[in-house]
Amino acid sequence: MLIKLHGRSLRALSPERSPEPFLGRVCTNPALPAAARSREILLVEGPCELPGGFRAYLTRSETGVARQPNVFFIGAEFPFLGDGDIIRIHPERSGLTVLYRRSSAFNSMLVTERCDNYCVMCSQPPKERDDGWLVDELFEIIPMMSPETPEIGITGGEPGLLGSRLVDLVDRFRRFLPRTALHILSNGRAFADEKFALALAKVGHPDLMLGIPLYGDLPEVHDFVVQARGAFDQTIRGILNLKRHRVRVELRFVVQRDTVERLPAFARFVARNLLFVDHVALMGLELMGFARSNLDAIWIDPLDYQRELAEAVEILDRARMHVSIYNHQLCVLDPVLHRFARASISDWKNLYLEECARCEARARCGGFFASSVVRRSRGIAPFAIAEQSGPMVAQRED
Amino acid sequence: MTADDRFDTRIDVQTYRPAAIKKAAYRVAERCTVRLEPSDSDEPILRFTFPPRTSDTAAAEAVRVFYQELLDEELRAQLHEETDALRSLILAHAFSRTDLLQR
Amino acid sequence: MNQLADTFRDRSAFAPSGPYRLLPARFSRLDDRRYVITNDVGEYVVLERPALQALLRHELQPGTPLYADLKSRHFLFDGESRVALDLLALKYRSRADRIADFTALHMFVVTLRCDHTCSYCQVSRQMEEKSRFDMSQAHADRAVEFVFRSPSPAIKIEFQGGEPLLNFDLIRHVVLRAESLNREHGRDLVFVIASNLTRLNDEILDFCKGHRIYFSTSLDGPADLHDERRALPRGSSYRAAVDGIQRIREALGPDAVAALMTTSPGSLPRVREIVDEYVKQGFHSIFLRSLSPYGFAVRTSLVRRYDVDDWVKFYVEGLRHIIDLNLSGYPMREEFAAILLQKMFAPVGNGYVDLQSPAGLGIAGIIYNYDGAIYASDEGRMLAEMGDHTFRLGHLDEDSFEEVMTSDTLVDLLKDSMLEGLPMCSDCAFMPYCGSDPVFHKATQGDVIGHKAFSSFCKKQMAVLRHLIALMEDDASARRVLQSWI
Ligand code: SF4
Ligand code: SF4
Repeated sequence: MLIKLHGRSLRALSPERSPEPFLGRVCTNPALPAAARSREILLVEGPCELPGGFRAYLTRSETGVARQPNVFFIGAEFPFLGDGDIIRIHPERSGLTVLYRRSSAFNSMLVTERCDNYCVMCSQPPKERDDGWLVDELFEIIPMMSPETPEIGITGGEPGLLGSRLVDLVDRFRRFLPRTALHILSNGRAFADEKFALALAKVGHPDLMLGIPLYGDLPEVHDFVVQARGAFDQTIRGILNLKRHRVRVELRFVVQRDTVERLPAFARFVARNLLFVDHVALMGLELMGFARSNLDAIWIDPLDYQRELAEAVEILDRARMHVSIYNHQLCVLDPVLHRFARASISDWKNLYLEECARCEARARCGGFFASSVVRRSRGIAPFAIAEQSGPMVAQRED
Repeated sequence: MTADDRFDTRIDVQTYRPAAIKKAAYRVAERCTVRLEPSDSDEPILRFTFPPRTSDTAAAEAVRVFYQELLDEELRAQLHEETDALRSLILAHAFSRTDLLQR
Repeated sequence: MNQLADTFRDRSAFAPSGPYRLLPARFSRLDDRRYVITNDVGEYVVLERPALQALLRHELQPGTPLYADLKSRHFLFDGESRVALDLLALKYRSRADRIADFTALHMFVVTLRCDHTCSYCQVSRQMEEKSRFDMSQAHADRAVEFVFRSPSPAIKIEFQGGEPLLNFDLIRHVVLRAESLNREHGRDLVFVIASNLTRLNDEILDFCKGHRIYFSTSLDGPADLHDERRALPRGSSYRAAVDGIQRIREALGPDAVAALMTTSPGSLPRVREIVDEYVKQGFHSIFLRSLSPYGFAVRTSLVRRYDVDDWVKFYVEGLRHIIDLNLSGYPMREEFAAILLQKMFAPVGNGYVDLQSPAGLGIAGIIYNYDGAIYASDEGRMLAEMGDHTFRLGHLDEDSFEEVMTSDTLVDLLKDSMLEGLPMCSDCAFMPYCGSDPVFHKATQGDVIGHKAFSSFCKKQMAVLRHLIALMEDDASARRVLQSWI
């Protein structure tokens, strides 16, 4: 499923509307007690009488009588919207942005676009500007999220640049959503300052994991990929500090042309030096942002690195580390790797190709990033539904 | 080779440090005894003594192995000189911190 | 085409500047051509002599795969990066902390009596009737208290003899007593009975069913080889062993029994037959051991009758055969290689008592003799039987656990066995994988350190480690098998 989380085609049906953008939680129950309505946005299907007191109204039919302020027509857009989802409405721009979907297993929150790395394959290129409002907004919506939310992701930019704001944010999650797993994607450099790592640890979040990218066993490789001299040392020290204070850490290695050569050496390095990290993810490219502008320089067909990938996975697995392969279609993976592959692509980003419809493995396969259609592996071929064996291209000789 | 299972040669103590010579001697102790004897010149004498009934080939081989070990010992001494201080630093660091693996 | 957009700098902009510096390391010859260089934490690189020389003379070219590997495995560092020092310190500390987990193995000599009269027996045999060679219940109870004084989360109690089944009542008593104490301590507690299985019966097996008891028995090879040295006044020792193995498997499960072989001069030309005997008996593991120089063996001077070189030939041939068995589909591990490979590739090492630095003496294992004396290791106890009390740590009647573990005897032994401080070992590339065997050196050379140039232990260690490293480097199919043992 590929779904759209942002649109600019709201049509105001009421003359009276807020001048500023505002946040609210979707509600489909017009009979909600009046006292509970002020932060809710009522979503109705057909024409009906709109009860007063809601923050705003979304309707799928144009013919309603808009006696309330902030009534917007959304037509058939955002068909998935439902109770508990959190959205931002920007009346001036006719904009609607879905920030949080209650039914999603994984909601990802952007907290800043600033970053001190400048990765050659960054899918979300950093922007150097004051964007403190992003985290302010997140502070505001945390109390509106369902306590049953399974997992929240914090992404950037580099969340570590928020400093103590990040620590406060994690603390807020702990207080409002104590049963929700929190996954922070960070380059880890800020945690080279042990005091910062300690402050984060002291929050005592019950289910926190930091996903930290490490692109090689050698500083020159990692520093080049992230385009920052000294980043390797800082990232490693960050990881050590976090683990020293019992914060869980996941390493994320993106396989691309510059990193693939030392992929097995990277695995050996991790098994020797960072055995105590909680998870290692070996990931395929997401062809967005810089990855797209640098495509020819960084692209390598996954079919051409199966040997290195298998070797790395074997080394890590033998060291009894948790290892996963992300962002790889099953048909391009060596069959010995299938049990490590996870269907990891967020549901709003993934899609399948035409041939996937005929594929026996589809239910287990992560499919593609929506962005990946610009370059696909030679190895894409459905697993025959009738037979048990895989496609010929997936059978790699050693 | 002398009749009494002994072989003497001169050795340049500028090229080979005495410590390296001693260590190499220790390593070949099973094949022969090697000792540094002072001499009237700058170059002391290196005296190889072989166990009774050592054949000429075995003796020659022992001397060859000694020189091989000596070259290695020279390299080792160099490595020690350069890294001993670092080793102490690493050890000090290792035991000044709380352990990571005790999760 | 294949270039990054203009806002990016290319690889060369991130190349380290300036000369490299060496990190602490040791090197030894691997073969005529190659050297192996290792660091304190057990990483290694194999390289030819000119490359080694270039490395030490600071003439190695950056950008080559060898340079990258040496840097990745912490033999050198360069540029502004210093994190290698942090990581080395951390790895060193992790290895050292293994020692803190001490005293996992507790051996109880429940009796010295035995029904065999083996010529090479490592324990001096006593007549079956003399029950003054049995451990008393009072000593057993006190020893069980000691067991739970040790901080290790996993505890193994091993019953030895003599033939321990000759005093099964005491085994039963110790098992029940330890289990009842463990209800409060909550350790991971298992028991092993090291037995020749001649006295195995249904009553014993029934008791074992309800407890975590494993058996360890001797199997030296085919019947004639096994019986040649294991003299049983009536019947065949081999038959007793293989029948016992089957009975234990049926009663307690396929993994409830392990076998251990002892190498005698007669074994040396027959390693394939020995391995095949293990396959025939359904074992997936074998430990190709060298003959130890204790007990009767020393007196009958069997040790000198075969030379380390012969044993190494035996070992290499046996290992080849085992690798081939794996390649043709029968999984089998050789335990000596597995221990060394784990030291090479599994960073936290393992607890094999005879191969640790400092020696596993008292730390990984402690032995309570039938008469209440406490020894630092099984072999230390055997030396005591021969009148050498170097490894006696104390007595159950006289000393507390703390007194034993901090006794001058133990502390001195441990200090003397830190390989870092020993001549030759201190410069040996194999040191991180080796370990000292002070009891062996005391037995053969009269002091706990031993002169390594004369030590057959050292010769054996070097030969086997060289062989394993060469296999890992040169033989891809063997490498795959060896890796599966880690
Ligand atoms: S063809 Fe099958 S395995 Fe390949 S991408 Fe499509 S669903 Fe996945
Ligand atoms: S005993 Fe021999 S192989 Fe072992 S560390 Fe010492 S010198 Fe090296």
